[in-house]
Amino acid sequence: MNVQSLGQAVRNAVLLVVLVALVAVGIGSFYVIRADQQAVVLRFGKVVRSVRDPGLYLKMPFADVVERFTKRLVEYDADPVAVVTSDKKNLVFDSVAVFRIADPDAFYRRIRTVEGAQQRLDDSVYAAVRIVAGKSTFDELVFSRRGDSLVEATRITNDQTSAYGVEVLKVAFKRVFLPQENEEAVYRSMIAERSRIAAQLRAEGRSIAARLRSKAQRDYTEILAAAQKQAEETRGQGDAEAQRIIADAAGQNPDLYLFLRTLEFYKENLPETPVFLKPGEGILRYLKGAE
Amino acid sequence: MSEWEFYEPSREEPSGPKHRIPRMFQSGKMVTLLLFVLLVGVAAYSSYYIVPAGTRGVVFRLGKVHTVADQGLHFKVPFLDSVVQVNTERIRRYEFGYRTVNVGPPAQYRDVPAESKMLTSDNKIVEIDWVLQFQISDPAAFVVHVPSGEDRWEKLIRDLGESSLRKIVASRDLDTVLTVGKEEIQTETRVTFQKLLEELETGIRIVAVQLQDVTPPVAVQASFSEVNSARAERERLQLEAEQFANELIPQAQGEAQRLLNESEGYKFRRVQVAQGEAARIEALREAYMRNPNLLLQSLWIENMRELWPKLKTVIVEDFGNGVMLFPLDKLLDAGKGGGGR
Repeated sequence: MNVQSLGQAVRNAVLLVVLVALVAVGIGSFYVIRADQQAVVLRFGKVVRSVRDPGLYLKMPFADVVERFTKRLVEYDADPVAVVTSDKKNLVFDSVAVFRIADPDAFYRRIRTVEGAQQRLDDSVYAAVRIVAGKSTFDELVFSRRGDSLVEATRITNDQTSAYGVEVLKVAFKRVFLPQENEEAVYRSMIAERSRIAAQLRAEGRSIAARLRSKAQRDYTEILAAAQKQAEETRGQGDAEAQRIIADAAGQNPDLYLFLRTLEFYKENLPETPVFLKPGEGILRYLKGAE
Repeated sequence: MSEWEFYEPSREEPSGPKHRIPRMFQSGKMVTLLLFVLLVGVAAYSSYYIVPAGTRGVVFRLGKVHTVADQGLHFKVPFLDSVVQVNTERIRRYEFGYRTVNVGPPAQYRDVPAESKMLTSDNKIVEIDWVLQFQISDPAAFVVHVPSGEDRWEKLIRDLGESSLRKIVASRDLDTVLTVGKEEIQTETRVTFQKLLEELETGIRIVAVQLQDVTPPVAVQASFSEVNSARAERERLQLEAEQFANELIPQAQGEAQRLLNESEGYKFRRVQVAQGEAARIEALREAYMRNPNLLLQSLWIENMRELWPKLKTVIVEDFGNGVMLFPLDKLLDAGKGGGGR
């Protein structure tokens, strides 16, 4: 009974060890690659396979080592680069690049770490920006062909990086700006331009005012002149009408009319005027007695 | 698998001898049971998860994206499933060109000139402070593609955002940017940047691109305000001239009306007077026809009665030889004395 139970205990212990070993081997035979990961499998230091898709994979326990890399985007921030454009202007490019590890095998062999990739990109992006900038004019780089320039810079960078398993998705000009001394010049020209605009606005103001004022004065004169013309016409009509009425009346009795007018003339003009009269004539006819 | 094996002996318990049971507990059985309970506990604990409100849970099963869970209590397969929670409701807000140091009130800001200064298409410089608002709309894409660590993905979004806005601003001249272009720049940046984020499969949705301050650089601001004051002066001169015109024209119309009225009055007067005269002649006509001489004489005398006192009549005698003598100076003096007779 004791021997039997001892034998049982030994058997149990052996079973346990075997089980633990099996579990260890079992666990060591599997690995999971998450959707944001990729990996190379190394057998005694040598790459035997690269894994890009997520999922559960088998490997040789103890012998195989799984080296994982991120599958996420990685940003590379380049130092600003001063370039001379094809039309001999200075520009500073502050670029960034977005890349990802596209070929884990090549990446493991040539670079191994993301930091290493950033160092390689220093050279590639710098070169790409200089090449693109040298071929283009200032305007093309800044706005008219900016998108194309970026596509080209991306392509040039990619040509160099694909060899070490890095795919550059985008090179972007985070900032494109002018060197300090050029900036000062731009400010000066901006100030000059504004002064010119200000002067022009003031001149315009004076011109508008002069135009409006002279127009008003002209209208004033025209309105008055038209009124004067009409007034003279009306007066003329009055004179003509009056003349016609008088003429009608006088035409029938011209002597009477002229006599009346003469009397009016005397009344108006003779007072204060010395008049020499002879007795016995006219009104003085009876001065010397009736004859 | 392994827990099943350990469980086997205890299932044999009822059929085995009764005195063995305590012994077995004292030795391996006790440990086995404890292990089993622990395992079940861990399995139970890791078989559910809770997604809080405003977030969604990205479930990875054996590394692959299995599902995206909405808020609430969910079950999962222990050990095989793992969950990453992503806040998809929160609207994140990045400031460019400035940072809010203290939300206040009063709010305090710090300027970041390197971010705000940008080139325009006419080779000038403008300073723009702006805000980007976005949220994570596709948590699975976000978790799989965007760099891990908030520092890193914030930098990525900031850098790409700046690059997008600057590209749009660079395609316009300074005056457009400063005046009418604001709305367009916002819309275009939003569209361009969204496209870029989609190309990179970031799972990010831009909520808004808002330009806060669009100003000329400090170094040239004085000259810009000079333009503004010149513009104001132009308006002032124009307004003054318009006011001048507005006052002058009615004045002209008033004077014109006066002239017309005067002339109408004149005409009326002339016609009335003429009609009166005509009527007078007409009235005298009958008497004149009867005896012209008598009428004329009596009219004459009638008039002279009135006129005579005002005349300086001098009566002289004709001496026949044609010579008339009279003291002229006395006559004139007498005339001054009030009309001598």
